[in-house]
Amino acid sequence: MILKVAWRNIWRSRIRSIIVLSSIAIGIWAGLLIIGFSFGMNNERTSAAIGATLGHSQAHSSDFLEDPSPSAIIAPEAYENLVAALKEQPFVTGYAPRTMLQGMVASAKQTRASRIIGVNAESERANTTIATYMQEGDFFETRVRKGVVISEKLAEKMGLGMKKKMVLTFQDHNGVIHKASFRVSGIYRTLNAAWDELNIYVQQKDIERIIGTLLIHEVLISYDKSEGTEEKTAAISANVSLPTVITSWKQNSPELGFADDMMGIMLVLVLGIIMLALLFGIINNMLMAVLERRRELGMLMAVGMNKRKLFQMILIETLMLGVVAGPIGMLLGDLSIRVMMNVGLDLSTKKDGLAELGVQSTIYPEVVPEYYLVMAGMVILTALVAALFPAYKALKLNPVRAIRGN
Amino acid sequence: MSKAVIEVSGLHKVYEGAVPVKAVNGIDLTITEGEFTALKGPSGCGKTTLLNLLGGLDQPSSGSILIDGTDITALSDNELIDFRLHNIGFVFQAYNLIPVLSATENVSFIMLLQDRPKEERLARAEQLLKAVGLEGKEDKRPGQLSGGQQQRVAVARALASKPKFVLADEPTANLDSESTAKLLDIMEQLNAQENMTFVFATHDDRVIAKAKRVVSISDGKVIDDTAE
Repeated sequence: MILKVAWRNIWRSRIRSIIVLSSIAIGIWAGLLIIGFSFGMNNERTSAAIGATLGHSQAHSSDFLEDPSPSAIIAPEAYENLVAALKEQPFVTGYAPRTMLQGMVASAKQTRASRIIGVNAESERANTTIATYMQEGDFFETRVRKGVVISEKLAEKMGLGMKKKMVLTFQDHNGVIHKASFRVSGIYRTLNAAWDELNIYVQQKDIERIIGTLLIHEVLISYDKSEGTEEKTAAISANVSLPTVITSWKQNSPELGFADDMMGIMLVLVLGIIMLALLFGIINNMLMAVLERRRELGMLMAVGMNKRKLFQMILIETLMLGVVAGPIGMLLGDLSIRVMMNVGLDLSTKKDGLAELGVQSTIYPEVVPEYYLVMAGMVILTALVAALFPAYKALKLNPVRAIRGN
Repeated sequence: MSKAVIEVSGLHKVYEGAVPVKAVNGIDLTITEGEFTALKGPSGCGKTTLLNLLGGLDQPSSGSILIDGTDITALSDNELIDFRLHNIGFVFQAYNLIPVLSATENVSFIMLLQDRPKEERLARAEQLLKAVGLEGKEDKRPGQLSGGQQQRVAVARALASKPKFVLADEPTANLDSESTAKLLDIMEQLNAQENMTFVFATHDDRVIAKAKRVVSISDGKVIDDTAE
């Protein structure tokens, strides 16, 4: 019967209850949308970065991690050991060796510092999605000697276009400076504007011809799934000996890893702020309910309702607000997310800014089931906390005065 | 000789303030089982304060109140709440029913607080509502009942817990003559048939006329005590 009383009491002041129930439902709806979009945006950025440029993990010589100089190579023997270790792991779907050189690129218009990535075109295409980001030309699919793939942004800044000549200057592992001219054979644009501005791709075999030897500074490693990247990376590391070091994408791109970790914290903060606003709304509603029902509560205390039961009654009534509004908010949130998953949120007016963050202009939210539970838990916790002050006020009522309405 | 249900001796209640008010000023009173007693007196004479003290809703400044042999002034707050639940029935001037519950639910709610089984609660509520002449109104909520009918539900509620006595504070103050007469008849019947003890605080002559014992109070003291 206590439940029945609580339920009917909610509807005693219909408009007030509808307002507070709506505010809870809207709070939950907004919370779920924020979670959905945050996950959608972050996962898209992360998976795009992993897919296009980073891989799930990378192997380097330990020297390279301290100072990425041309001499910090993975020696041929170490490379063979690494490949053997990778083949042992069923979750490794492929790998792509890279030559990483710091250098200068020059066009007729200007000269800039750049990172020159020498790739094995086939393995790079097989293990990254970079080929899908081509705006013009291709990613070394057409046989071109000394071809270079540069970003759209760099092409624009340096006044370059397809088949235009550019001069690359770089130092080899012995400190010898080489200078060679390449022709633009492809122009790419990834979601990461910062990456695009700095990195150019050439074929490893062209670098090998220029400096006379094959240098491998980095091996990009792909896994079957992104889940459990840290554990998988650790499993490979266990079979690889120094100086070869395996690092996960979070270590290789700390800003992405940081964004991933921060997102969890930010979401809890945002949800916390929403819940705080709801908390005061619920407290206000329940406090009014208690003060309006002073006579009734006084009567109940007079006839023998003990403090525990009175507290329980207020608590159940408050919880019921959350129990009624919670599922409505979650259903609305879930439906909205599912609709937006197909439609997407078009932020093309902020396209350039989003590109700097490595995000495309249309954001698609994701359903994150575990956050539904977090949300439900937070609503219940908020209702419980919100019940405390009104319940305290009810317990402090003097039955004699309350019955008189004082 | 009938058993004493309420024994009050040397009862004082002083409300402290800039000018202390002696609301109850040395009352000795014994009420025995089955009495139909009215505490009468003008407003502010201390009859409601006395009723609140008898009901354990207020603590006296001094003196003792024995209810069926238990000194309720020595009980803790929680013990007192539990004591009220099982021993005292209350009827208030403003009915004080729970508006969201039906007549049956209002009557059975107090039995829920006593943790009585549902079947027992419903059966007793039905029986009591019938006794107060509300057969057919069991499912009506207070807002759908007249003032007199609401007060009859309140009487049924007061009896639901099987108390040792019922305290009624100005039960007819908000009722018209017809409703008052009906309510008094019902309480008189319950007093006669079930030997239920009723104590009223009132200045309503219609109640006083029905009472078998009238205790007159003035300035917190008993100035007259007349039994039929």
